[in-house]
Amino acid sequence: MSGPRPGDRRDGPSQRPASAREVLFWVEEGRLQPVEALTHLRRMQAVHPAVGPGPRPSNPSADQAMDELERLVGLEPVKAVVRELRAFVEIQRRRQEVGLKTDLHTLHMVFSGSPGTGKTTVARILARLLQGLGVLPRGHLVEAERADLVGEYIGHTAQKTRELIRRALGGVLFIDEAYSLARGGDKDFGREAIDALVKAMEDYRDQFVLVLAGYPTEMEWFLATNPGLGSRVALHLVFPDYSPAELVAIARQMVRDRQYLLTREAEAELARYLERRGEQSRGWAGNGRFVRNLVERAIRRQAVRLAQHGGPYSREQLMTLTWSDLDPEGGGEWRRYSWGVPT
Amino acid sequence: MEAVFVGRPNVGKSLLLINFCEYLGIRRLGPVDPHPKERMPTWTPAEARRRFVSAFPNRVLEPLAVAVSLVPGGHSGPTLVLRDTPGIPTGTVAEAAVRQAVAAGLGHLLGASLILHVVDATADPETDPQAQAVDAALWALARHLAPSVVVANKAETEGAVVAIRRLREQLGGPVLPVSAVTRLGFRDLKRWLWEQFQAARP
Ligand SMILES: Nc1nc2c(ncn2[C@@H]2O[C@H](COP(=O)(O)OP(=O)(O)OP(=O)(O)O)[C@@H](O)[C@H]2O)c(=O)[nH]1
Ligand SMILES: [Mg+2]
Repeated sequence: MSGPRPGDRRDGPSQRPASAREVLFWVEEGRLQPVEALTHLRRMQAVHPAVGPGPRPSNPSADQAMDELERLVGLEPVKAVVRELRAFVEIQRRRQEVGLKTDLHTLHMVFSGSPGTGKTTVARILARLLQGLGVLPRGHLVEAERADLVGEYIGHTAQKTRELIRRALGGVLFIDEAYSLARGGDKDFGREAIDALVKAMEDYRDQFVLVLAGYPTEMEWFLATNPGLGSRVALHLVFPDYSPAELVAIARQMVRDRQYLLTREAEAELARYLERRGEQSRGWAGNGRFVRNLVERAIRRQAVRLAQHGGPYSREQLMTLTWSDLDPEGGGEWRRYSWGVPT
Repeated sequence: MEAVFVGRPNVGKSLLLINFCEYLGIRRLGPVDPHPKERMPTWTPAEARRRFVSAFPNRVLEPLAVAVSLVPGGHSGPTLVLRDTPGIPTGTVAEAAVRQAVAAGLGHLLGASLILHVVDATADPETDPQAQAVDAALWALARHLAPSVVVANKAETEGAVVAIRRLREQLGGPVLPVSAVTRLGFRDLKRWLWEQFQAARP
């Protein structure tokens, strides 16, 4: 018998395969043992998530997710924590590669903030970021609230919660108004859901990330009274209310996305209006949902205005939203589009 | 969508796949997506067992892939492909044909939408460190590629309980005890596949 024996490493041990394809080649050639191949492939997975033959769902990279986050208006404290998180995960990966101890178990989070402050949007971006970083294989978001977890009879709740967690495996489970699980006291089935969540965090370590979201004070109380959950949550993201200027920026972005324009007067009046509202009422004033409703209503009102006026219309006319379209206190139908305050 | 069966040699991947297909009511097992002009061979479950199952490791190098429907009672509805792969050996492999087949199997693993990591519940994971290293590396990779589950086959045998407990501790993930021979755990396996299939469909 002549020729290199499989397993001979002529290029020396410092050589490393550079791609998944190369790993497979080297296995074929006998330059890599299968177990080494598995380890290399695992290492690469964080860097080149989509490899190998056959169709694979596209795996948007971490950079893309980060860009999307950075483009969101405001939310500076949230962005800062996510930037840190990314650096942390990447360093843990590097440590893993060189055989150092790593700690990736604790990525469960609390998002506290008023409704309409971007929590769901950020959760969705975060899921994709963690996928890009190789932490979560699927990177999808499963949104849930009390009714999705809590059942109607004994045993039903544990079953519903388990099912939900199974759907979330490989991604992020986002529970909105999470504190409402503890709302009914000790006899309430919400307790059962909390216990099932805690158990799942043990049973499926690493396999999903739990995000508990809600109003800041309520969440604080909730975590303090449920140490089983509280102690397993490592990250706390605080979503501030939007400032009037940020709300105007959000409105501008929404309008642009829909291929409309705000007149300068409309922007200035909106800013003034939001300032005034903000002084009167904290809590819901910094609400992105409110601005979205305003913009959507303005688009409908503009259509009515133009139709009444009669054509032909210039391109500019078709695009322009005025303060009279936007004004929350003008027009007839505004009450139907609520402020986004839970009633 | 493809669910790929991976694991070390002789753990029972092939028998599990064939008997599971039979359990789902499939009469002819054959290659997926045959070219319409060519008549591709298909096998009855009994024929497939003779052809694809062996008491010796790495005998069968062109494993089966079968398109199945998980819809109750049905051959209709969306299908899932169950794909077998050659066992991943410990140490270096002498035969080029085996190396090639193993590499191809790893390629399928990388493209999997769902992964069934099959292990042998008669083999105590503590007694063979090399085998344990392969399973640990495989599981670490699998769970990051796609929704994955450890399937502990041959669970009808004596001592399986202890081995399964060790596996749970070592791999730290869901472990599904099954037996390709007695069909123990097939319902759970089907449920797992169905749930993952539902969740992953766009
Ligand atoms: N007792 C018992 N034996 C089983 C079971 N499943 C498979 N076997 C036996 O295990 C041996 C290997 O089965 P295969 O299905 O060929 O194993 P494999 O994982 O496909 O092996 P490779 O193709 O070499 O990777 C055969 O002798 C089977 O009869 C089981 O559930 N219980
Ligand atoms: Mg086989």
